[in-house]
Amino acid sequence: MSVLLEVNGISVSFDGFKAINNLSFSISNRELRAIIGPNGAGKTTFMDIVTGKTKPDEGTVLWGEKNLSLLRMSEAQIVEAGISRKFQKPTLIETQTVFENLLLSLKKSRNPLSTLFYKLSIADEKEINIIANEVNLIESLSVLAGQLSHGQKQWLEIGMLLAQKPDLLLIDEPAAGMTAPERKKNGRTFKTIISKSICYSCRARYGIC
Amino acid sequence: MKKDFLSQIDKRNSFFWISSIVILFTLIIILLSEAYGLNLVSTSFTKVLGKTLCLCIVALAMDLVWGYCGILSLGHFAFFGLGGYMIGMWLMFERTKNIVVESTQNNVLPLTETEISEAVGTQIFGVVGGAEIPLIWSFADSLLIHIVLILLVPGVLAYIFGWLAFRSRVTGVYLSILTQAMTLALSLYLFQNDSGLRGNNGLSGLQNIPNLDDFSQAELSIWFLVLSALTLIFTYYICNLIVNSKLGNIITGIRDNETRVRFLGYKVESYKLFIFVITAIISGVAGALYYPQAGIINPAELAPIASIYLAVWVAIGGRGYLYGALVGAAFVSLASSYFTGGQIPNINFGIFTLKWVDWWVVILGLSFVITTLYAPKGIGGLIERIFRRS
Repeated sequence: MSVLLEVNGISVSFDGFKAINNLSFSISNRELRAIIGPNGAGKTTFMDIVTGKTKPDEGTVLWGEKNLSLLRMSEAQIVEAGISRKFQKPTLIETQTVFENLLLSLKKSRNPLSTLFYKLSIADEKEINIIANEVNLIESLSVLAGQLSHGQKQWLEIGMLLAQKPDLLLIDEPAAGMTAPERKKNGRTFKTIISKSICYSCRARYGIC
Repeated sequence: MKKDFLSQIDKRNSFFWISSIVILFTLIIILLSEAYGLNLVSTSFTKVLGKTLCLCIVALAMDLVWGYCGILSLGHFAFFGLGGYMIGMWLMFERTKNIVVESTQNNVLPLTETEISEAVGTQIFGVVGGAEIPLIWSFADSLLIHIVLILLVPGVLAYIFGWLAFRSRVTGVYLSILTQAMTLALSLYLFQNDSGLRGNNGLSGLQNIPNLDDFSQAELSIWFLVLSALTLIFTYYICNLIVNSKLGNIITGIRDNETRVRFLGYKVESYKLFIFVITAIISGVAGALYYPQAGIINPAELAPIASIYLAVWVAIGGRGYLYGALVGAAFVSLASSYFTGGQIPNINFGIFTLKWVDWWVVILGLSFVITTLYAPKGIGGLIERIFRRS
């Protein structure tokens, strides 16, 4: 298995507080990893660094077979390279419908002009339906994302990650606010995602998956 | 599901209604006009209406950038003014040149190019103590180049400003302050006599269109009304296209949750820049149509307060509703010219006199406060609520 993401000796501090100290980590294709730790251990900061939200003080973050350095890329470029991220708190466009949220997530050109002239194709619509089915939101496609329950919001955000067809999924606390059966389903979903031979990895606070 | 999605888009499609209303309105004014109709609407009032249409255009731009993309720009009236200056330069130069040439027609020797340019320079810049034609007027004899400049100057300024501001991720109130600083700086610069645009005198006589001396102001006012109405319809079409496309979803997404959009892989900065530049160009075009009807432009027009008024119109009309912006701009600017036009008599209460000219600003402020408190979505939100109920 080839290494997908390789993090070497990163350290980051905020106003003197060392959030991460000399962390190394790597993950390969089709691997599922869980990162656990108490509050303030630096789990979210680690993901911030991989997705380009925070720049580390030292260390390297290399991506893919070409060993690209993620530290020099913008957030949007990192997503384009194939890393998608779910936030700790469900982060959706709450004023738009589930359908529109998924539509924006589809792997399409991200250029302003091409989005202006974008026409919804049958294939795209089918894809959205498949994803909505997978995350149990097929009935709620025309509901505003803000009106969903907390658990449904989590699912929608996971669906939005699937729509992006990433190579690496970073999932921050996917079970927060979910009931026990939902957590189980959560775990099953992540396993099916992997069996579908798309390479994914995830992380959870309490190591549920 | 596709049907649901499309019907939702149709519901939001107000282009047909707005364009019908604007066309109908224009036809009625033509029928009642001094030049082509029953002579019931005066030329000066036709100009007020034409100017109002231009203000509606810039309000659409403001709604797109603020109501939809969430960038509270307090600088869009600067782009409006720049558009006005760009057309004003051509109008003033060409007309002065025509007058100079005409007045010397009976001379034995025709004037040379240098003599003409010197005479024009003295005519235009005598008022600021100069006779040289500044470099920025090099293309003032070409209407075509100046039409391009109407689009280019606001567009390039917006691009440079937006690129710097959005790239460093300045957002919210800080961005508003920056845009206001830009407007103030531009206005102060134009106030200087050596800015090459006649300082605080501004450009005047813009209502006289060169080479169209055979036509009366009454006729010209109708032409400009029609031109403004067509531009308004075209702008509405463009804005409607943008807000109902996937691009519209993305920019409202940026307004509501910038982080999510960024981590979906969209370059938020490019989108903001795109919308900022487009709306700046729309504002410039609106200004270029407005000032020939107003007749004069001076740097005071670009003062930050004008851009704040623009934000007030859109807030009262309803952010996030294109028709709301139109209603707000038309309603407030017409009310403003009514109250400050001296048409209603002042009320004498003995110890103090209620002067509408002074109190209009208070009324405007109050209505802004009331809108914010009781109808946060403005008139557009009220209209939507009424239609949803029925």
